[in-house]
Amino acid sequence: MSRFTALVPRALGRPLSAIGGVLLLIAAMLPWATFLLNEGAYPDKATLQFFDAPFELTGFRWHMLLFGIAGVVITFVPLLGKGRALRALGWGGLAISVVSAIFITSEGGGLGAITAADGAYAFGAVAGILGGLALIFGAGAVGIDDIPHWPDAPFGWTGWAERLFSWAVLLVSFVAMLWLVSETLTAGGSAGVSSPYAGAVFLAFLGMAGGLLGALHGVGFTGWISRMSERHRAFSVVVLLVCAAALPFTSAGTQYWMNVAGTIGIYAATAIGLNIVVGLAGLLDLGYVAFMGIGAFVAANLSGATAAKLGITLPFPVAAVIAAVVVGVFGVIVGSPTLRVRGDYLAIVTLAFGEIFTRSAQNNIGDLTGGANAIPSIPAIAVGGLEFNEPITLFGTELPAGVMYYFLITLLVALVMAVFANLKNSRIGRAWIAIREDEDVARAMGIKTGKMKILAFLTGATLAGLAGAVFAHKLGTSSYDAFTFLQSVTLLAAVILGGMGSIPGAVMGAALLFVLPEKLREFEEYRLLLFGLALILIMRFRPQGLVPDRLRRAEFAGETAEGKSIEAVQEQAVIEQEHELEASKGGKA
Amino acid sequence: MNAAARHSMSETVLEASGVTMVFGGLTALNDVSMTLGEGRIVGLIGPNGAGKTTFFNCLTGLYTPTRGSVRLRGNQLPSDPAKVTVAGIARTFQNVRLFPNMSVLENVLVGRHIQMKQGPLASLFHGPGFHRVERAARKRARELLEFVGLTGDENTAARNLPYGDQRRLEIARALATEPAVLLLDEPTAGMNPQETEAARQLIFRIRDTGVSVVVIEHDTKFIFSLCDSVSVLVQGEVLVEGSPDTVRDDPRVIEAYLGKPREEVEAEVAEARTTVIPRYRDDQPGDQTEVIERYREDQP
Amino acid sequence: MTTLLQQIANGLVLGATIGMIAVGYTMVYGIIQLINFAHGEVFMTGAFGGLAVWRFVPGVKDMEWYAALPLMLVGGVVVAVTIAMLMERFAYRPLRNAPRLAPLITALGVSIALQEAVRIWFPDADRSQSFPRAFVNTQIKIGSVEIPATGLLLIVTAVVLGALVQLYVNRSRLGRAMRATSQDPDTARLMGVNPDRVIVLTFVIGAVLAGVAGVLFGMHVQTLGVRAGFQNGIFAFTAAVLGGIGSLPGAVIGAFIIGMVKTLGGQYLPGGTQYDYVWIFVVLILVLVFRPQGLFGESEKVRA
Repeated sequence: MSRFTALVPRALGRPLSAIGGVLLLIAAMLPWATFLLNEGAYPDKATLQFFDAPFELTGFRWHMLLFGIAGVVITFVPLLGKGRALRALGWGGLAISVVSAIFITSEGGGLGAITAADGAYAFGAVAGILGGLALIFGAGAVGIDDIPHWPDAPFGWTGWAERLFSWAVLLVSFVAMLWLVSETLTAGGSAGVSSPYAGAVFLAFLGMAGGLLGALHGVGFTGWISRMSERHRAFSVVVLLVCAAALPFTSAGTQYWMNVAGTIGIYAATAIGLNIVVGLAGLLDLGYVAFMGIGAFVAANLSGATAAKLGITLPFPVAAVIAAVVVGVFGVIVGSPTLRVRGDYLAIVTLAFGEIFTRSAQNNIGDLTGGANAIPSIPAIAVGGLEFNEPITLFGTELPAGVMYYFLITLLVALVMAVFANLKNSRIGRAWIAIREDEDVARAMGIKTGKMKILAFLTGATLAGLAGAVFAHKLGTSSYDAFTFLQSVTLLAAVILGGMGSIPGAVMGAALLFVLPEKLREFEEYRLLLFGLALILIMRFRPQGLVPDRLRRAEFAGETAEGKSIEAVQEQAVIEQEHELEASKGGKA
Repeated sequence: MNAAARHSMSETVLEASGVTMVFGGLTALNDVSMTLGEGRIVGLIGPNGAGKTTFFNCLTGLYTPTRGSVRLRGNQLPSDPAKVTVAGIARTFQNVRLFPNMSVLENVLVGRHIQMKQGPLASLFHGPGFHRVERAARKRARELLEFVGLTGDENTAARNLPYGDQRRLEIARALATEPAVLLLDEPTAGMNPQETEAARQLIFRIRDTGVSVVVIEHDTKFIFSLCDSVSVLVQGEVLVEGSPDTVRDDPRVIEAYLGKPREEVEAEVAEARTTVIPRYRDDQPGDQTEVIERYREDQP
Repeated sequence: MTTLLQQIANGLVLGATIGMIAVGYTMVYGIIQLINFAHGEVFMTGAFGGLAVWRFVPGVKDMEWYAALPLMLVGGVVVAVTIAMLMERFAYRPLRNAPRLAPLITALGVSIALQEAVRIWFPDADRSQSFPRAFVNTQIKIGSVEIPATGLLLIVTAVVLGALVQLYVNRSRLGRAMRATSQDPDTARLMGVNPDRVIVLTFVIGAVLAGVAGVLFGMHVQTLGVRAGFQNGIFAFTAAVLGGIGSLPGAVIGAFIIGMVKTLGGQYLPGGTQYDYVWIFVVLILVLVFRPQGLFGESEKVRA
C-alpha cells in the first residue's frame, strides 16, 4: 500500500487528509441505504434520511463522526506519529464503510441500494469509502515516520512518583480495555437473537476498534503502555486478572457470553501451549489438538459419566492432574521419534500422529472414546458442593450459570501464560529459541537439543491436556470430532494470526477465530471457505500476525523493532561505511 | 605472553593424531596431526577446499574421524558436539551463524547455557535462586561483550548488526561457554585493515586469559603476525608445519596456494595492475536479471 | 491364498491412483521444497471436472464410453491444471522467499478453501456424488483374482503416464531445465532457465496426472465426495516420501506399496478395515524417522 500512497505529493498530504476527515463527518450524517431492506431498517437509523442531529447518532454512524472529527483535528494539530494515526483512522473508516456497503448492496440487490434509487439517495457508504481512502493517502503524503517513543514518566519522575503514575495509567488503560472487550462481544447482540444485521454491525464495530487501536499504536501509546506494564509486571498481572474476573459483571455477563468466553479461554490456553512448541522451539505440530483430545477423554473416563467404561470416579482436580500426566507421556511419545526429523517433514509426522489419534478415537479404541456416540453427559465440575453449571451470587449480583467455569478458565489461562512467560525468559526458553533459529549452532553451544525438543513437546502437551480436561466438563461431552485435523489447523492459525511467540497474540488469535463464527452466524455456510482464504491472505500480507513478538516482526516483515524498514537501516549502514572509507582514504592521501 | 602462559606452555591441551576423514569415495583429510599447547595460538592455512573446516568439524565432534584420534587434555573427544562444548572446545563459523532474531545479549546468554545451573522447575517458578543465576549470567555476558569491544545497544537484533560487530558477537558467544580451546574459522573474512588489526589484538587478549586458540585464515599476513605456529593444509594433508618464519619462506607453500612459483605470480600481478576492467552498466542490452546476477556473483 | 492375491490386486489399483497424485507431490517438493497440501484438491477438482462434463455438457450422457471418457478426461485435466496454475501464481509464487512456514500454511489455506468452494458451488456437493462408469463395465479375471476393468485401466494408466513423465524429465530440454532448477535454481537461472516457467510446468504436469487420476478414480469407485482429495493426498504424500522425494519412479513404486499396505493391513492386521489407513500413517512415521530419503531418494533432499 505504501507504494501507492507514496505517489501523492507531500504538499497534498494535509489537504487530502482534512478532506478525508470531513467526508467521514458527512458520511456519518448521510443516509446509507436507499430503501427499507427486506429485513428492516439498517441499524442506527441509517436508512432513507439525512440525519441532522449529529449528537444523537448511535453505533457505527457515531464512530464515523468521531473518526471524522479526529481526522480533521489531527491533521492540523502538531502530533508525533500523525501520519500513522491518520492512516489508522482512514483504514477504520474504510473498513466500516466497506462492510456496510457490501452488506447493504447484497441485501438490497445492487449498487442502487447505496447510491440512488427510486428518487431516494444515500451516499453515506460512498462518502465513507472516499473519506477513508483520502485519509489513507493523505497520511502517506504527510509521512509515516517511526513510532514515537514516549518517555517513561512525565517530568522525569522516578521512584514512587513514577510508580504511582504508572499504576494509575495502567489501571485506567486496562479498565478501558475491559470495557472495549465487553462492547466488542456484545456489538450486534448475541448471535441469532434480534437483529439480522448482527454480523455487519459486529464487523463494523471491529473496524472501528481496529482503527482506534491502530491510531493509538501509531502515536506510540500502546508501546508506552506495554513498556510500562513490563516494568510493573506484578501490578499489571493483578489488574489484568481482576479485569478478566470482572467481565461477568459487565454487559457481557450473560450465560451465552460466559459460555463463549469460556470456550475462547480454553482454546487460548491450548494455543499458548502450542505457542511453546511452534512459537518458541519452532517445532511445527499439525496434530496438536490430539493432546487436548487425550486430556478430554481421560477426564471424561474419570468423571463418573455413565458412558465411561472405566467406572472410576475421581474428583476433578485429581482427574485433571492424571490427565495432564497421561498427555505429557504422549507428548514424549510423539516427540521422541521426531528428533531427527526437520521442518516440513516434522509437520507431516505430527499430522500423521494426529490422524492416528482421530481415527483411533473414532473407532472407539479400547472402549475409551465412545466412537461415534462419544461420551456424553459428563457431570459438571463440583468443588465443595458448588456445581459449576449453576448460577451464583457474588457481591450482591446474580451471575449467570457457567460463570464458575469462566473463573476457572481464567485461572487456567493465567497459569498457562505464567508458564509460558517464565519458561521463555529462562535458559530453557532461550535454548528453545536457539534451536528454532539454528539447531546445529545451538548444539555447538552445548545445548542438548534432543532433550530440549522433548521437553517442549512435554510442556505443550501437558498444558493442552489440562485444557482438554476442563473442556470435557464444560462441554459436557467428549467426542472425537472435536479433535480433528481441522481443529489443529485452527489452533495453528490462531497462534500465527496472533503472532508466534507472543502471548497476547495467541489469546487474540483464539478469540478472533472462535468469536467470529459466533458473531457471523449468517455466514455459517461460508465459514470454512473464509477461514481458508484468511489463511492465504494473512500469510501473504501480514505473516507476522497481529501482535508480533518484537523480534519476530523483524524476521517476517523486514523491519527493525522500532518499525524502521530493514532496507533503510542497511542502506544507512552502507552509506556510513562509504563515508568512513572516504574519510580514511582522505586521511591517507 | 604473560608469565602464566609461558609457564604452562609445555602442556598440551588439544592433540589431533593421524586424523583421517573419508566421505564415501573422497578422502577429505589424510593423516592430519596437530598439537595445541596451553596458551598458544596456532594458525591453519591452505587453499580453498583443503579441508580446514572439515578438520575443525572433527575437532568439535561434528564429524567422527574415520581414523585417528583427537584428545582434549589427554581425554578422548566425545562424539557429540554438545558434549564437546561442555568438555571445553568452542568455535565460530566461516559464515557468521548468529541467532538472527535474538538480541545481542540473548545470543551471548545462549552461550552461557552450560554454565547456568537452572533446572526445569526453577525455570518454571522463577524463585530467588533462579534470579541469582540469571543476574550472574547477564553480568558475565555483559563483561564478555565489553571484552570483545561491542558497546552498542545490547537489545539490538543480531541480524541488524554491522558485519564486523556480528563477528565479534560470535566470538563473545563462544567465549561465554568458558572454553579451554577456541576455534576461529576465518575470523577476519571481509574485514578492512583496521578491523583486522582489532581482531588480532582481541585474539591476543583472549590468549592472555588462558584460552588456547586455533585460527583458520586466508589472510596470511594476519596469521604470520599472530600465531606461535602455523600448519599448512593442502588437499587434506599437512604440507608444512612450524613457526611463521619457517612456513612463510617455504616455496612449497607459495606453490600450493597459487599453483606456480613466486616470480611468475609477481609478474602476473604487475601486468594485471595495468589492465582495465569493464564496469557493468544498466544500459547494456540483455536481460536485466543476467546483469544483476553477474554483478552479484562478483561481490565478495 | 486367493484372498491374499486379491488384496494385492486391490492394493495395486489403489496404488495406481495414489501414484498419479504422488508424482505431483514429489515433483513440486523437488523443485521448490514445498509440500503442496492442496495437491489432493487438484485431484478432487479434476474428478469433479470430469463429473461436470458428464452432467452438464449436453449429449455426453448418451455417448458411448469411448467418446464420453476422453471428453471427461479433458474436462478433468483442464479444471485440474487451471486450479494448479492459479494456486501457483497467486498463492505460492509471492511467497517464494518467505520463511518456510508461510507457504505451508498457505497451502493448508488453499486446501481448505478449495474443498469448501467445491462444496458450496458445485450443485448438491454436500453429499457424495454418484460418478458414472464411463468404461467397459466388466470384471476381468486373472487367475483367481478379479479386477474391475476400471481398476486395470488405472494401473495401466499410472504406469504408462509415469513412464512418459520420467522420459520427458530425463530426455527433453524442459525436463533438463526442471532438474537443473531443482538442484540449483540460481545457477540454472544463469544458464538461461526461467525458473518461474519451469515451476509452472512442474505444477502443470503434476496437475495433468492428478486430473486423470481423479476422473478414472471416480469412475472406478463410482462415488465422489469433496473430502476425497484430502485423504488420498496424504496417502500420496506418504508414497512420495516412501519412494524418495524427488524420485518419480520412487513415487509410483511407493504408491503401489502404500496401496497394498492399506488393503493387506485391513485384511490381516488387528483392527481390520477400520484401522487400515492408520497403518499408512505408521509407515509414514517410520519412513520419516528411520529413512527420510526413502527408497530411491538422495539424503540431501530432506531440507529443514
